[in-house]
Amino acid sequence: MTWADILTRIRRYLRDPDGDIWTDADILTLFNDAALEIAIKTGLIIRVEAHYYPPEFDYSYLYDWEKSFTEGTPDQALNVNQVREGNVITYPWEVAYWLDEEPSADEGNRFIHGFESEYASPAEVVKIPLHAKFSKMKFVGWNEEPIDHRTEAEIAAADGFYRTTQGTPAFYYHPDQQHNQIIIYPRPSVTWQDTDHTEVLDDDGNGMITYDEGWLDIGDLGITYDVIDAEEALFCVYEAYPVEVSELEDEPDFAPYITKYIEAATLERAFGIDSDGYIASLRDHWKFRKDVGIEAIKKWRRLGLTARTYRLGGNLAPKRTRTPQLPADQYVDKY
Amino acid sequence: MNSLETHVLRLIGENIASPDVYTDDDTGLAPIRASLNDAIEELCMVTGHYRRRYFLALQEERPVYRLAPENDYMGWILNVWDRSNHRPLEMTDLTTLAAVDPWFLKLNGPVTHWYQMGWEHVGFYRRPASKGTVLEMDCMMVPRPYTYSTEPIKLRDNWQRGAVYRAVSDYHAIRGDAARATEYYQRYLEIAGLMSLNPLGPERFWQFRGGPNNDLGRHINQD
Repeated sequence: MTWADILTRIRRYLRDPDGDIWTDADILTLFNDAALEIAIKTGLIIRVEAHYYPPEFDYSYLYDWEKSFTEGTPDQALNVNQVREGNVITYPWEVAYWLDEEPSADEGNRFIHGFESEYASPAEVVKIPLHAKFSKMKFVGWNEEPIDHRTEAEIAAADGFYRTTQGTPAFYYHPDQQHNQIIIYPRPSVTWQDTDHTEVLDDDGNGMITYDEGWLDIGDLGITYDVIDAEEALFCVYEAYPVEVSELEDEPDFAPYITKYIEAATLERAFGIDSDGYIASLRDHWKFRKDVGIEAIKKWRRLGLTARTYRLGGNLAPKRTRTPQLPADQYVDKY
Repeated sequence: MNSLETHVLRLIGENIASPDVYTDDDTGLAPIRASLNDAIEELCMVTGHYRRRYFLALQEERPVYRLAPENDYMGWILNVWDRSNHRPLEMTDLTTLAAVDPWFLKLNGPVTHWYQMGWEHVGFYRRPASKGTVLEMDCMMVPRPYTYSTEPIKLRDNWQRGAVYRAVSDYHAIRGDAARATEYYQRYLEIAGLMSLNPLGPERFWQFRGGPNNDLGRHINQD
């Protein structure tokens, strides 16, 4: 369901088809606001991805102010970004230079972008940018093995050379929340990849099992699937915020059957704005629907655990034989 | 026009024989169908009664798959059956597997467990060493919207009246009548047995006599 379809539905409920009270931009802002509310309250958007190493990015920027002009996944170039009188400081010894003191020794080579670290002995960690809408990490694996979270302080306390240590990654940490990156420790050796981790097996839309009666315009279609390859990659499972819709052909991150709850939250906001469209009773009605919807989504999520067997320990329940039998070693079979 | 659409038109006072606003064609009935589809989706979500069985052919040394059904929206996997070995697979999760077997993503072996990540990703433990394993997956799904009058309604009969009430509620909301919209929406929740979803329900305080207001009044008088 595209934003154009959703906009038509919302305008129908608003009874404002020509945009006399609420402009398209108003409704778009309210919808993205509502989508964020539903996502935070339900935790419904889970992304499963395999990331390349060294990391890939869409845009590289140097100064903080440049970030707002980038799109997609941005990566801040260089390792040291202090600015003095308009000059970006790249090497630690430059700080001493500006103070007319003796130059400070460095441990290795500085690099501009993460992939360059593999051509030399880097003096710094390689930061891996996460998805712009990353919220909470649920699982991280490196080369098909799980790695655990530690704080940078814990890793630094255990290894004074943690920034340059090379080996098989066992831990990861987030340097901060603002830059939305993770760093894996120890730094892996290079694993250049030129293949896509998501291998589309059947992209012709027919599914694995197909029944289609074209002349009746009726068909029952099966299921298509892709394979995600986690070999020599950073395998991440995380909860995400929704990507804002902006163009008419954009589709929300949610499953289409969740969209009606975002619409209810949008209508609650629209009827609550102190404008000519303010109607308290309709605002309350749509809030009621939104609240019921959030409970419905929570119940839907709980149904996902229907098949789970909970037990304190041990293994599966012992298998039952097809017919009741007496123990053969305690009962004679003939009299 | 199917029976649900007819019922909706009857409840909103439209002429069934020759409707003038919601005409008996795809364009005229589109708003009613959209409302009924919303109700069908919601009832399938909260009851989990619409299930489909899919076959999944596992790939060589691939543990994680993204599922994209063509006819329905993906929901939750309920059972996975290993057809060739005649045994069910057990549900688990990433956290448990990572604790029990850190090599769960890379070891080949018999497939004994499955885990779901979000609603469209599923993983299997252990991953098969070769192709040829076909799993039967019983899934809780949400049907895609129906678009024409003879298309099957994937909702049990006893909930269909509830779906009608929800569509009538939509009609009154579009007209701006919040009171009647809420009335029909509550009627929908009651008929479908979904009153437990009403977040205001648990706030009711049931008792034989007295009540919070009386207590409040006593405190106020004492002050």
